[in-house]
Amino acid sequence: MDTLDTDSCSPGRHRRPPGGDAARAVTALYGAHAVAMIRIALIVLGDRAAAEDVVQDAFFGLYRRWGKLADPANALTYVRSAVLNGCRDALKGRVRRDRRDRAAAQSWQAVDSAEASALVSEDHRRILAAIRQLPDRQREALVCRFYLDLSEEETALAMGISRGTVKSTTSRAVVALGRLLGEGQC
Amino acid sequence: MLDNETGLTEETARAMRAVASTVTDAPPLRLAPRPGYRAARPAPRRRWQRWGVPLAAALTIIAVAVALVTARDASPRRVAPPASPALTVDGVPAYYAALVTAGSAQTAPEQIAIGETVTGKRIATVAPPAGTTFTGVTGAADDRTFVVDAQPGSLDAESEPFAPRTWYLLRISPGAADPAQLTRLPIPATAPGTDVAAVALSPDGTELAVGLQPNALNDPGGPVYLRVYSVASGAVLHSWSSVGGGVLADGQLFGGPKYAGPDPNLALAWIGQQGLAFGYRRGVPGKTIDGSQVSSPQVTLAQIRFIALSAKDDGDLVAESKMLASVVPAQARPTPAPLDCGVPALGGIVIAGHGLTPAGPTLLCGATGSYRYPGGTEGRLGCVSQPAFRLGLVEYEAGAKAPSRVLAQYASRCRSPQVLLQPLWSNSAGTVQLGMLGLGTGGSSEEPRLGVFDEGAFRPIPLPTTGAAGTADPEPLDYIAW
Repeated sequence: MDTLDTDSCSPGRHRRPPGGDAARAVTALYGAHAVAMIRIALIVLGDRAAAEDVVQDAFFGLYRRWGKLADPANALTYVRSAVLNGCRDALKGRVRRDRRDRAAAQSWQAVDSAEASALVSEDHRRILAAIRQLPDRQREALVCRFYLDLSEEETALAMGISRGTVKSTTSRAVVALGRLLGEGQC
Repeated sequence: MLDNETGLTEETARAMRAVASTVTDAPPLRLAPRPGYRAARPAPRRRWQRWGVPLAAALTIIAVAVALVTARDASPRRVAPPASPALTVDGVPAYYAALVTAGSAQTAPEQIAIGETVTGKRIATVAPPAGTTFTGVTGAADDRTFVVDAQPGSLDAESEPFAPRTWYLLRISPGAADPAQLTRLPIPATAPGTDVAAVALSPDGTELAVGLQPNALNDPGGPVYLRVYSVASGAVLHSWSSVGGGVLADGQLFGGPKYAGPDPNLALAWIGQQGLAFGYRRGVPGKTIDGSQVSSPQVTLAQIRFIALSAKDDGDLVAESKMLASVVPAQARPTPAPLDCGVPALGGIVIAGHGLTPAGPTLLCGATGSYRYPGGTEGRLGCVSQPAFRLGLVEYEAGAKAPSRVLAQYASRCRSPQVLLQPLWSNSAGTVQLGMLGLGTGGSSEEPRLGVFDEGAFRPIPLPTTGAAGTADPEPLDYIAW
């Protein structure tokens, strides 16, 4: 599967931006799918601001990568993968910061804010908190299978793993989720 | 809570859908590395940073003329000015012009609905020319004259971004057999790729101010222009530009930023016939903004500026204008935050202008603030057990750094995108406003309501009926103007 070369976007390695066709295509794609992508990132991260950043980065990466995509028709798949990857990186960064930051509680307070909306019940907040305690792959499998309603094949494509791994990972994720909720750890 | 695996997966899906449903809009796409962008994902931005871009996108102005001075007669075929002042009902304009979708199809074009402000009742529907969709509407002070613009196709997400705009005069005659007449204007169509950042019709209906960014797709950091056209001849009467970067007068409405339209008209405002107030923002390297020390190497400078029509033509938009107000960046705000036009401001910062003194016009702002409680509430989303967040309609005298008057003030236990105060129109004296107010209850997804702010009181009025059949539509209006 093609992956997005986000390294090419690093400062100091700036290249000539793609042309207007790429901008138009990515802009149209963003207009159509940005909200859906932010929703995915929000489920994973629980932080609207971070979710928007991840999605912006994913689309910008797509823009920079446009000319190298094997098949631009699959751009949405690429973006979805980039969003999942970006969420993974954001979560890792958050964990690192919290380990060295004694004020971690403050940042997690902000993370909880997205679910503090009246739209999200207390039970659902517990579930979302538990989802975020799962390993990356399990969490992503749950999002792909139960939120995005992707098939096992589509989930495999989005996650870059085999269909069999999707099945086993999803199963393990559900078990782990039930255990976390049963233990009241979230 | 959950009995079995099937129940768990179903509940998990519901939980994810619930939190996903809190996202209803997206900030504009920026095809450039954002500050701090690097391959290894940076830390999530702090809330003020998050609002840096939307703030600019949310910076909107409405202006209402106080003194209608004699309009410049610069056009060879002058459009007849309004014959009578606006008729009002309960102190607000009697009729609105709103952009509404012509049907349920994704690609349905936008129509213009004309209706009664106080009742919401529609009295006429104006279809766009064949093959086009309306993309913006702005009104004169007589409540009868509007200018609308249109682009090919529809406003759905797949439509061509920054498609060429053509311009039309819309005159309404309530009670007449033909209550709305649409006439093509000679104002030149915009070039493909041009972002129409804002449109504003002068109070006398003879001049149209347009904020433009040519080549916005390929050069998003390129120059921006503020131009004033003669409605009658289409001639450019005034033009100023800013080549130093920055974003002119982009705004957001009820549904958040609209990347491909409709064209906002709240970020650009006529002050009488004498000049224009406009929102302007740009990223500023350095550590000081308006004397406030901040720690970020890049802050967003968000200002309301005023340019007189007598300013040097073809001059620099920033140099020829003067700052009326500067929005306080969140990192420079104290806690608890005062009730002012600072950020973060959920629902957007909206400023209305009225009056004109030698120092400039008076500005109105939908403001936010917070109270301090043990444990803190600042910067948090969600609901708490006691009133924690303040919303206000505040007035700034020209040049003032703090509100000179609080016209209305409300407290809320909740902070969310639905909790907002967004003025949309003000009378010339600044005593009566139309706007949106959402206080949230914590018990449901309460949507902001349209209503009248009058001497500190808020009186809800029905949202204009939308939908092709004239029945109430659960979807919000795409745009509304008076």
